[in-house]
Amino acid sequence: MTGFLASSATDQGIRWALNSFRWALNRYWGVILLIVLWHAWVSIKGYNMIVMPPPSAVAHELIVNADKYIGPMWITFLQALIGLAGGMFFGIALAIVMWFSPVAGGLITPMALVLRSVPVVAMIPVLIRSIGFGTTTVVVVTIIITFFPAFVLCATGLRNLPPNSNDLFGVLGAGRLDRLCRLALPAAVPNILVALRLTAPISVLAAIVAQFLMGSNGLGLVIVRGTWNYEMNEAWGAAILSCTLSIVFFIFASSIEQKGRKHWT
Amino acid sequence: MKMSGPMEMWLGTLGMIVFMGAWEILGFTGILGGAFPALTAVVETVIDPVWRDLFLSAFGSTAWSALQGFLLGISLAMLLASATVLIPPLREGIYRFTATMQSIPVISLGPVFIVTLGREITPIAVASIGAAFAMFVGTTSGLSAARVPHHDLLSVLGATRMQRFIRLQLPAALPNIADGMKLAAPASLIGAIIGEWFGAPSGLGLIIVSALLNYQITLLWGAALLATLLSLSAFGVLTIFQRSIERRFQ
Amino acid sequence: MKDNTISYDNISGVPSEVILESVVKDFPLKRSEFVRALEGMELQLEKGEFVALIGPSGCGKSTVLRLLAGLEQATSGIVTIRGRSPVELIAEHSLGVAFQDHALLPWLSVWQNIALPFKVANLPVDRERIRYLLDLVGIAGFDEARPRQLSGGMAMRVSIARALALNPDILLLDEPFGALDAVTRRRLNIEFQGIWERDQVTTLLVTHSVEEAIFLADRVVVMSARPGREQMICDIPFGRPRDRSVPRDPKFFELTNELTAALDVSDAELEEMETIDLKARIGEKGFKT
Repeated sequence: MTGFLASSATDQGIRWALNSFRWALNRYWGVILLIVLWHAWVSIKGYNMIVMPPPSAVAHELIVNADKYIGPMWITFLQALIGLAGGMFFGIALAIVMWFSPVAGGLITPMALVLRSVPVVAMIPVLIRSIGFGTTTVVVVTIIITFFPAFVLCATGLRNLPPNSNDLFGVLGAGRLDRLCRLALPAAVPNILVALRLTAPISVLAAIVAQFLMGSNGLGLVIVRGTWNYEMNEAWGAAILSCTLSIVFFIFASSIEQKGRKHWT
Repeated sequence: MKMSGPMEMWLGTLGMIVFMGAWEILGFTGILGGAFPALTAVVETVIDPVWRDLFLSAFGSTAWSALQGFLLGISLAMLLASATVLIPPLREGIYRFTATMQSIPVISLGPVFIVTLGREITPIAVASIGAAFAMFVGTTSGLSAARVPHHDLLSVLGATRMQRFIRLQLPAALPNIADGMKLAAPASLIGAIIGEWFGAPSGLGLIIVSALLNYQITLLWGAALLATLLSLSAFGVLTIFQRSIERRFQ
Repeated sequence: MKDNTISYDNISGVPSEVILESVVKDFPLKRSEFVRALEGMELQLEKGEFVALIGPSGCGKSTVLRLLAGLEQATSGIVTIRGRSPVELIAEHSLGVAFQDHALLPWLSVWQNIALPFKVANLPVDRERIRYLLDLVGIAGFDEARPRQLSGGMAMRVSIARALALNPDILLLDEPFGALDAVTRRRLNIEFQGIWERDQVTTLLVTHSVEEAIFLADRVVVMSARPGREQMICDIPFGRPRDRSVPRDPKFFELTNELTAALDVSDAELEEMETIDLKARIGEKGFKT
């Protein structure tokens, strides 16, 4: 009897494993293919470690020398987080200013458009020279990059009011502050969450590019140092960690957005 | 308070003038330090005969790389996006793939491309990746923009998947595709410049990095200014393109 | 826009609660053209009276309501409620309004939505009043529900409860039942009649439905279009409270026919209205259907 039950449990276990495997394959075949191609390319071309390490070598480096990466990863995490928070804050603040005063909005908008068109890669060196090499610059860069989507999305969100709600507030005799706090800002929340989801992964990448150019600290430093010292394992290891951090930020922001959407609309 | 069109324009121009004036004053008085030059100083450097040719050739070089990258990238993106619609089993995988690729810091791909593709092609390759990301999102959302009643119509008419794609989904996607192109342009410029950082023979990215390291402030700002102008004009051209598409297809 | 002439249209000599007199309303289009929505509009409501305003599409009945709600200003003419302008009443928070779109805030619960007028008026939230209203409109127990969880009919009830929250002097209803299906609409009409009976607030109802107007109102005013003005006034003979038997009364049928006929426009007029409409849409850039 027990033998029979036990085998049915293993059956279920096996079926679950197969199903998960099939699910993972369905979703991640692209990524897996990429890794396989990477390995194949290195093998076929016979690249040695200096040029392009195979995935196995990178994985090895990350596991064996994990402690080398934890510090930089933590620094990058903090810088990206503060930059993200700062960017969202200033973006929302400016959108609110624009809401209060269309005149200010008319003055600011074209400038904002021009500043947005300054390529990130040109802005960062300029900021490096103006502010200096260091953490502050990284955070400032990240703030500037995350600022624009937050600003634009919040500004549109403040105007996307539920139908007739503006009239309702008119009849209720609401003042401007009431209109902002009770109607416009809550109405803008879904858009703000979208901005969060869009800018979260970018904040990590922005921080890393800034670190890369400055050679200051964080994963960007590891990448640039590894590249110059021909320690490609390090460079690639750090790159993969940045990738992972970016994805983690994205997943976090995405789930916040979904929870918020469910609760708010 | 609604603002009329002309009033907006006046305010906008006023804003720009204030901005440029502030820049000039801040740079001239040196309040923000030596690394913040006046607007006039930057412009002088760019048109200075000593530097002018350098800037001109760099501008052309970067613009050309960006353009090639742009065209390559948007084609790639549209192909991939079409695949998600035409071959449904591939859809999930392609999405995950692009999401992953998007989070790889482009700067770490630099060394790879230098080795495998060479110094000249790298800017184009990086530009195409930037453009492809921007375009992919726009195209996929555009391809699902056709409304259900229209889909139902095509079903009843007995359309094949390809016919549905060509007659309904693609036309319905054009506004979003135009929007994606508008975003892909600056992205390809950024990609081109990043690609140039890894040892391109010429280009604005090269000037930027070398001016940064050699503390040549006005050169740095000059290159940044030209890059901004390039970005703005590309954005402007594509915005006009987008408006005309919208008018036709909505 | 203060004018001290008082209308003595009724026998008792007391001025009407709500007065529209010689009201003209123009809306600007692009290129300094305008469309005249109302011309020579006259309307009076007595205290505690329920008046329904019906008319063909685009005749300006919603504009009348918006003038009374203080959301628009008349180009010329008199618009007063109790001798004061709507804007003043807004400042005193004594206007109640319900729109066709229930305009419930999606991030607030039912209770919080009804409490909103208190908060905006900086008054302490009267919990007793809210409980009373929830009971009155028949949604007791749904305090914590979110608008997205409610059916169209329930959302409308909340909207009405909110309109009554501060004991308004006047209740303005802009096709509140318009988005509901016919069955729910009829049911809500009957219920609303009962609700209104309790306090008998001076009410103006704008509606497309002749039956609804006749069932609910003391008086029905028919408007004509382009430009809008009142065309015909009809007293409703039925006593209150009204129940399901009223629509089956032959007199009800007669009134329905009479009013529907008044609403009909000739083919020529219809064509002219549509041409004006089309011109307005092409002239107004960015006009969205």
